[in-house]
Order: sequence, then C-alpha cells, then structure tokens
Amino acid sequence: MQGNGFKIFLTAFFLVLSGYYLYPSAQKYFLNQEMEAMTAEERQAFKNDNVVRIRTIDEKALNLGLDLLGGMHVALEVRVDALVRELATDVDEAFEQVLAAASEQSRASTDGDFIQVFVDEFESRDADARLSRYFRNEAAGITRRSTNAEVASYLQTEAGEAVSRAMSIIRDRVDRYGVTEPSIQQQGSRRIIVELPGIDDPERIRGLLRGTARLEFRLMVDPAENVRALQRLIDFYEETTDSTEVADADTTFDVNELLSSEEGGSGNRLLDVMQPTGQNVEFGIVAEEDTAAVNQLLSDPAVQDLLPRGIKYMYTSAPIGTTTDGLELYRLLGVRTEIELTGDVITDARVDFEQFTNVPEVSMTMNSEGARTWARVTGANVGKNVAIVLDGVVYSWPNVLQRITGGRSNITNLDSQEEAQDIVTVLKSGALPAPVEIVEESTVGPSLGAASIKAGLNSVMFGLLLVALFMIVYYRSAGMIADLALILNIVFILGILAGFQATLTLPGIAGIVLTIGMAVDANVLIFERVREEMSTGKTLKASIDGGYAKALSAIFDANITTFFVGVILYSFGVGPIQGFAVTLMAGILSSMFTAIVFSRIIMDYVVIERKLAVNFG
Amino acid sequence: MRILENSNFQFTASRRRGYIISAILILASLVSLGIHGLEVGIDFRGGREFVIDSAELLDVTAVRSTLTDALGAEPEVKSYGEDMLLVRAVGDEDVTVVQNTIISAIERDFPGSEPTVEGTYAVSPRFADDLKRGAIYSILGSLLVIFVYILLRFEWRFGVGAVAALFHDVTITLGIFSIFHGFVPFSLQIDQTIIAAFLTIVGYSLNDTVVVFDRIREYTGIFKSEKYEDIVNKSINNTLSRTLVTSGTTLFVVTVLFIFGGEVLRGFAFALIVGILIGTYSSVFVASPVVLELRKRAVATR
Repeated sequence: MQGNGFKIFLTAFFLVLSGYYLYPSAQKYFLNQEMEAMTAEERQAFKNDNVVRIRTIDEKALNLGLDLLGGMHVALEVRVDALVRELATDVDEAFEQVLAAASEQSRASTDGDFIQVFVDEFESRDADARLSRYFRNEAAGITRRSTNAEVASYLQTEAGEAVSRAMSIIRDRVDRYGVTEPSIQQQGSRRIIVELPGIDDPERIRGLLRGTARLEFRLMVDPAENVRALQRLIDFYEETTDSTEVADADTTFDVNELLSSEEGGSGNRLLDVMQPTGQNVEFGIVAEEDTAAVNQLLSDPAVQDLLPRGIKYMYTSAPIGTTTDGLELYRLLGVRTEIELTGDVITDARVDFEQFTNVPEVSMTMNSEGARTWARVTGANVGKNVAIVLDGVVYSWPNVLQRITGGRSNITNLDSQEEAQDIVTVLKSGALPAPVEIVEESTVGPSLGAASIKAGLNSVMFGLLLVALFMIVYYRSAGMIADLALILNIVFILGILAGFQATLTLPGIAGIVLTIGMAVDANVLIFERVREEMSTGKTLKASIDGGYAKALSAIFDANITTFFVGVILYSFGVGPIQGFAVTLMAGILSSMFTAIVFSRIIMDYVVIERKLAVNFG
Repeated sequence: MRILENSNFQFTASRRRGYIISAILILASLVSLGIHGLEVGIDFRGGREFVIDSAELLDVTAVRSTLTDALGAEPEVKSYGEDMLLVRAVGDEDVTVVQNTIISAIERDFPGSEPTVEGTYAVSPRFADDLKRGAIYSILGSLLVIFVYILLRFEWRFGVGAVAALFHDVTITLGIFSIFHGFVPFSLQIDQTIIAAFLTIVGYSLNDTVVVFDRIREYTGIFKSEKYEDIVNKSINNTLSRTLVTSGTTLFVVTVLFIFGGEVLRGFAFALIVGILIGTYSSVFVASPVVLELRKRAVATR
C-alpha cells in the first residue's frame, strides 16, 4: 500500500470537493420535496420566511438547461444597419444604395462587421467620397473635414454603445416583467442571448424584447391636402394601370370586393387594395393582408412626389372592424415626418382605466421641458389632430381642444390590460437605441421539459444498471471494482458541472449516459491486459502491475482525442451542444482518474492489504 | 466469462473482402446522398417548428391538409413522441402570427381537440448560416486536430489510416441517414445534435483505432523478425476482446438512450448506434489495413 498515500489523498480531495459543490443541489432537492408536501399557502409563507436561504441554494445548485426546466430562449441581434441610417444626419439616394448593398453583403457573411462592410462599399463606389458629408454631427465631433476612418470609428463606438445600452434596457424590461433568474448575455459583437425560465406567455415576451419603444408626438396632414393627394394617387394608378397590371392585381380581387363595392375590380391597383376615404387625416382603410401591397404602392418614387410634402402614412394600432371573412381593417393616416416630442420626455407612465368605459389606457407624465413643448405645440394647433405614435404605429390621434399644460398625455385604443402594462414597461425602461431582431428562439413547455428530465433520468439509470451488470458478469470481482469506479465517476462529473457552474441540458445528460458506456473502457483495457499478463504465468500482483502500466499509453491516446473533440464542440457549438461537450470532457477526465487511480487503490487494498484474490473472470 | 480469447482470425489476409464491403457501403451512401439527399433541420436552413399537444390524437395527414389551407403552403407535419405533432413551416411572418394561425385552424377543423403549443423553435436564415458555419468549422477542426495528434504520437501512415477510417465511418453513417430518412418512424434530420453525435463517432472510432495502433506499435518493437502483416494481424486479434467489450457497453447505453431518451435524442442515439457499429468495423477492417498497405508499398519501392 506504500506509495498510494498520495492517490488516496487525491481521491478523497476530489470526493470532498464534489460533495461541497453538490451539497446545495441536494439541499435544493430536499427543499423542493419539503415544499411539495405543503399546501399552497404554507408554501408561500415558507418561501417568504426563507427568501435568502432559497436564493443562495438556487444560485449554487446545479443549473438545469431550459430544455429541462421549460422556458424561453431568445437570441436578439441589434440591427446595426438601421442604426447607421439613423446616425446619418443627411441622407440621399446614393447613401441609401450603399446601405442596402452593405446590408445584403453582411447578410451573406454573417456576424461580419457591418460598419466595415458599409465603409468598404462606400469607398469602392467612389474612392474620393467623404462619409463625413452624411454624418456631420457637431456634438460627436464629426465635421465636414473628418476623415472616413474617423467617421468609421465614430460609427463603431456608437454601435458598441448601442449593443450595451440595448442589453441594459432589455434587462430592465425583463426585470419589470418579473422573471425569476433570467440570464441576459452578449454573444459576439451584435447579439444578445436572453434566457427566461418558466415563461408561459412567449408572445408577450417577443413584443417586449423587440419593441423599440419609440414614442413620438407628431402633427398630422392638412385635411384639404390629404384629399387632393388621394385624388392624385387614384388618378395616377388609373392611368398607369394597363392590362398586365390588372392580371397582377387579380390576386387580391376577393378582398377588394369586400372592401369597396363601387370600385371593386376596377382594375385600379390602389383601389384594389385600399378603400379610399379622404376624411380629415384619414387616407383610406386597408385590410391586414393588404398592408404590404399598399406600402409598396405608396413607396413608388413617382408616387412619393404626389404625396403632400413632409407627410408619411401610418397605420392605426387597433382595427376598426373586420370584414365578413374575418379580415381586420386598419385606418391609414397621414402624419408629419417631423417629430414634435419623443418618449425621452416621459418621466412616468402607468396603467389607467378610462373613467366611464373602464377601458385600460396608459397615462404618461412629461418632464418640465416636455410639458413646455407640449403646451406650445397644442396651443398652436387647437382644432387640429396630433398623432401619438409608438414604434411606427398610430395609437391615438386626438383632436386638440385647447392648449394642454402640465405635460400629461394618454395612449388609448389598447387591446387589453396586458398590452397597457407592456407599454408602461417599455416606456419606463426607455427606447432601444436601434431596432433589434429575434434571430433565434425556442420555447419549451413545462410538460415537455418534465418529460425530458424523466427520459434523461431513465436513460442514466438503465444505462448504468446494464453496464454495471455486464462488468460483473464478464470480469467478476474486478468488474465490481470497475463498477465502484463508475459510480464515483458519475459523482465526479456532476461535481465538475456544479463546480464550473455549467448547465445540465438534455444533450448533457446524453453525454453522461455515453460516458457511462465509454468510462468502463479504461478499466476494460486494463483488465484485458491483466488477463494477458496472468496467462503468461505471472502472479496476481505482478499481473496487476503489468496490466496497469501497459494499458496506460492506449488509455491516454484513446481518451485525449475524444477530449479534443469535446473542446472543439464546446468552442463552436451553441447552447445544448455546449452542454454535451462539457459533460463529455468532464466524463473523460473523471473516467481516466477513476479507472487509473481509484480502481488501482481498491485493487491494491484488496490484494496487498487484505491478501485476497481478485477474480478477473 | 471470456469471449474471443486467443482468437486468431486472418483479418489481414482477408482484408480484400473488407475493402469490397466498405466500397459497396460507401458507394451506396454516396449514391443515396446524391439522389435522396439528407433531411436538414431548421438549425441549418432557418424556419419554425411547433410541437403541438392535443386532447385527442390528431391525424397527421388531415392536419397537414388543414394547415396547407391555413398557411398557404404545405408545412411538414409529423407525429412527435407518442401523442404530439411536430409542425414545421417556412416563411417569414412573425412566429406569433404563424402559431395563432396553426392553432385556430386546428381548433376549427378538429373541434374538441384543444390544441396547445408545447414548444417552439425558430431560426432566422441568417442565424442558420452562422450555425452551419460553426458546424463546418467544428468538423474540420476536429479532423485536423485528430490528424495532427496521430501524426505526433504515431508515424504518418497511422495518421492516414485513422483519417481514412473516420471518413469511412462518417460517410456511411451519413449515407444511412440519407437512405432511411422518411422511412423510419423517427426524425433523421441533420441538426446540431447530430453534428455533435458525428463528432462523438469520430472520437469513438478513433478510440478503437488508437488501441489497435498502440498494440501494433508495441509489437513492432517486440517481434522484429515477424512479417509486418502478421504483427498487424496479431495486434488486431489481441485487442479484439477489448474492442468488442467496449463497443458492447457503449452500444448498450446508446440503445438505452434510443429507447428511453425521448424524441429529442432519438436521432442522436441512432447516429451513435450506427456510428459505433461502423466505427468498430472500420478500426479492424479499414484503419489497420490502410497502414499495412502503405507500409507494404514503402517496402516494395525500396
């Protein structure tokens, strides 16, 4: 047994370490058992009494992945192209083209640096062109004389800040929504990964994460100009509608019939998709399905010239009704492109209920500067409409009855109290510096998660049982020693996962199951060698010595390559795959240790100390 | 208990037979990959998936036709687990919108079915490109690292033999995925977990191969007077018992995973079952014979 002191110490050390890291997980398990037995009220009271204790245990216990717990995982990407467009103080045709081309290119080579692509594209079109022309900004120190490199670095800084600001805003929104243990992390340069355990309403979360929360107060189109523009547009599409375009418009024929009885199937491309009204600030009424088609028609450059100057058309948030076919109808309203006030001036927002109808709405309070501007704007426009626009959609467009002082305003026409609550949340957290896009998301319901946990546990148990039985049948008492090593191995793997704060996912459990099968490999190699040694007539002790020594190089070579695969999987994989890679690597390390060191200790103890024979079958 | 102790099979002498079997399998795999192709998961091409549970068992074909009307394009509909459905739809509308369309269409056409969405997975094409790139990098990276490691630890012929065996294993496993997708009652799509499975197969197949190589290396030093062919044969035979025992235990656990691991891991476990069988075969019939052939050629030209 001499010389084994260090090995025993090492094993004991790792065992204690695993125990230390796994203790909170065990505590959590028993705590859950305890709470399960309580009634709902008792449980709530217990939770309130033990807030700190429960939180500490939760933090230190083995993390389960969302695929096991149930919840929502969202990968968001900050739209740098939109940000660049917004930072531009002066925009022309050429700029738009470069931006579009750069978007297209960076789409092809993903997570490439958009700003670099944009600058390269800009310079490739005209080597002498100056970016400063488009981004002149006194406050940021970009003047007419700034070089392209300076502008590029300014854009880079802004983009970097936009991502970190977006992250803190999203964290704030998630906190306000109230998710237990959310995780929000940056991935790469432009992406944000949000993990929300136990979410049961993914639709609301999507809206909450994505909403840029740009609140704007805008003046609206002059009614007379609106009607004239409408007539010009109808005439334009009357004239340019030829036979081929009629065929084109046929696809929306049915909707059109429901929309307007008179003009139905007139062959006028605009009237086919929109019912013209021209009342006050309203341009027309459009069915949900046709909004894209109408936008397309309105964006035609020739048409843009026919529209009132400085006016753009936006849809209303709530439908005004539905057709018999169940299609929702929205108003198209003319609003000024110039923004009078933004959400920055909002200091407080809360959900309110309309006095008589009890319909939910959001009431907002402005700061003093905002209140002054609001008073000036309303005072100068009594009798006219102002639009309250959130993320490009008109929520309400009240008629100004008198000058409004005190800086109060409401957002009305909301669907539900939840919607009101979510608007309050996004307004309070602030507007996102640039639009974000959901590039990947997954939701796992609690029952799917529970099924996965059960499947995982069953696999581990049956796998372990089968392998353990086989080892005993095949290698007899040596097999029992290998089985002991196997069980210790699983304790170590879990200890490593808990110690490194890794997350256990379903593929991770698969990794453990696979490790159970492969872990005995090292012992098999050794035992086979021992058998070979014994067949040459050596004593048991000599055979064991020889077996362990000779099997070492094969064990090492065979394991290290699989370990490399684990490292590579971990570096390039995402989410669940990383979970698999982690357990695979942990499994290799601990199985090498248990097979080479731990099983040897037992073997020596039995053979040398107790003078017993180990049967290798 | 002992199996195949002191076996003395003529592996090296009959290696031509092995080449023919491997050649046929590889050819069949390549043909199927060319004609039948692979089923690619939405991780690598973008799209949305919805796992739908319902109070009563829904008929896949009927739901497919209902959803084809509702979504305007035919979605993939499959059974998922024992009593759920997996719907996979393309398009770029909002996930919420697609989900609501699916649920209301099923509610309308199958009254009383009470469909609920149990899980969703959505990947934008751009993100899918990233995942694809990551997968390709990990495959190439693994192969490179393994090749370099074998080169450092063994002579170059072993490196070639090991890599040949790896290509052999992955090609045939891919081939089997290609041949059987659509015909078996579980998903055989290539997604991230399958890539992880393939890389594990690579690691595993190598594990087996390395053990044999290690023995060849050892015996080359001991039995200097024997023919190289006999040394290789003896190495394979003397490690055969170990090869079969570990393949056996690993096969046990992946079969357990296949049966008990649930719907998510079924394709993964299947890949591993196939990979372990092929990997064990290749370490005996591909990797070592390749080393032998290279060695023979070297001796012949000398």
